[in-house]
Amino acid sequence: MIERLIENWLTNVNELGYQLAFGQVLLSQGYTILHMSRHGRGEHGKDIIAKAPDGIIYTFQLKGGDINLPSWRDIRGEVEDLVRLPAQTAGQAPILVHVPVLVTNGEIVGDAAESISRYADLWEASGSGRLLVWQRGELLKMFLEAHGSFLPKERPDLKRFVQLFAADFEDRLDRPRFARLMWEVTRTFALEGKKTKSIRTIDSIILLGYYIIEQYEDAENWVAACEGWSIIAAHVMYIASKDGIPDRIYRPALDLCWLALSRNLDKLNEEVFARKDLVEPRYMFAEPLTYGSRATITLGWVAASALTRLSVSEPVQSHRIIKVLQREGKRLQFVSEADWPYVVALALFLERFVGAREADNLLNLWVNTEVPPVSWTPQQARYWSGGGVLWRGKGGPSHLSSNKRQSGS
Amino acid sequence: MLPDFIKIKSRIDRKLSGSIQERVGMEGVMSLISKGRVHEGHAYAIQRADGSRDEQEFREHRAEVVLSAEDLLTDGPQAVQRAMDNLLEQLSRSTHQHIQEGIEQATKAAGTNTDAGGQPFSAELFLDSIEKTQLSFDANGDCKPPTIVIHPSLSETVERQLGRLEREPGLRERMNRIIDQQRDQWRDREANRKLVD
Repeated sequence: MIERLIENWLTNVNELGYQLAFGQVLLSQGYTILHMSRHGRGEHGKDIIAKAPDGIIYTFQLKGGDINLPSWRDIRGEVEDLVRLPAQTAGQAPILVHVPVLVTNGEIVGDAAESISRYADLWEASGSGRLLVWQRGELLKMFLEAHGSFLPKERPDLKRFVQLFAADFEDRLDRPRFARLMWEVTRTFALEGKKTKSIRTIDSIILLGYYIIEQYEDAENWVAACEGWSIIAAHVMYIASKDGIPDRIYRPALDLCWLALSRNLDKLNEEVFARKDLVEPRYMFAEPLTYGSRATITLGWVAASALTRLSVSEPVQSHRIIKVLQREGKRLQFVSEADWPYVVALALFLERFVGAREADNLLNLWVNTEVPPVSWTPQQARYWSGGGVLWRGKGGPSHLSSNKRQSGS
Repeated sequence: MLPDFIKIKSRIDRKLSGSIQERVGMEGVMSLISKGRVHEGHAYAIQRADGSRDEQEFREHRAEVVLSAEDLLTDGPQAVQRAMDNLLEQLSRSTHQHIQEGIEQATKAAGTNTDAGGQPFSAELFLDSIEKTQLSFDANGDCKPPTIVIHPSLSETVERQLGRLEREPGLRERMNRIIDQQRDQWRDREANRKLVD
């Protein structure tokens, strides 16, 4: 059944949508990824540059959907760049000899096949590598091979996967369910001390998670995607540490997770900077109740993104973040202990880019914040998610304030 | 898009929308009408005791409010409350108009309507109208006074005119006569009513 869902996903996703998953499939086949653009689109027609296990360099251009004669004419220039221009990776000399591959999750239809073949002959005759074409069938085979037998087979896991696969992708990611799926696959196939199985499990959980998280990316739900990639990465790291997998083996997979996370953080920042407010218009009557919580989550991620960039010496648009914080800071709402990571990220950002006093003020606000109704035991309240608290306190902020209680320091 | 709480918001929204519907049902004359939920179809029929049948299409009542992001950020829940009140007012007006139209059509068809011809409300007009309608009586034969639906601005006039029914002997005598006649008719109907075995 999962095989059918993977096929369905692969058939319907666009070229940017399956790029990272394709990179993971290459990793599972022993390729080394030399270059994959942070922004998705590659230069000189090359979305991915990778070295095969036999040392040959492959360059890939990814397309979505069927390629017929008119669409082939549209993309021919890009494909010619892919074939004829050298492969360039950061800090390395241009690679003149490479095998160019046109990849599509659709099929080559009609007269396009003959035309592509003739151009491939022509370019090969002038000294370039022979253009290869990988179509849907081949691609699907590669994806399924990457999973091997490392796919959930038991009913609860299958059910969990289907529920996650068909969720409302504009809503928040169901993190407990997603983490449970990742954990069950991890627990079932890895952690036995057999490195080969653990490495294959890493390949499988990244792809499995990707089929779900990509749909949040497609819905432009950047925070949900960031949360998903964080959960996937945590499982990769857990398997690696538990089974003692060498850094060089699991690092490329983790890099891929990081690339995916970074892309989503970049998109989140772009959106936050472009907006006048953080309002989400669906179900406006309930919006006042959720706005403050959204502000906390969003700005927490934006602050975390800035701190991460800072740690790898990348430029931080601190003035733009400060501007948003000045506008939205008064609307931050803390609804449960689950908000603590956002508060930490924001406090660290303020300390670094604004001042220690502002960071202290935020922490004071957190310490003196209202916590969920006293009818819940402190132990329960500590682990309620923000969404859970918002629903249980559906009377709104006034309801919460009627149960005012200071949290511990 | 930014993180949203769709499931939670939709449940809250449904609850709030439901409360508007409920409040519309409790406003004015709507509160006097018994209600039921129809799960499918586009029309309904009323089968009366006299065998007559009246078919009607369902009519949609809709209202529109603008709730701007700016209002929401400035006034928070108060902005939502204002929008809900506005919706309630629009829907109440629309449903009451619908009911009034229904009453006018039904009374016209039954010949029980009274056209005041532009004259102001008076005790005489009231007696003309109840003379044509079927009054209700309780088990003891006491008349159950009819419900009068009026615009609030008319309440003083109506109270004054109805007060005349008590004060002026001629009017009081006519009213008692109408009630006695209708009580007799009611008794006949009750006597002829076929009881279920």
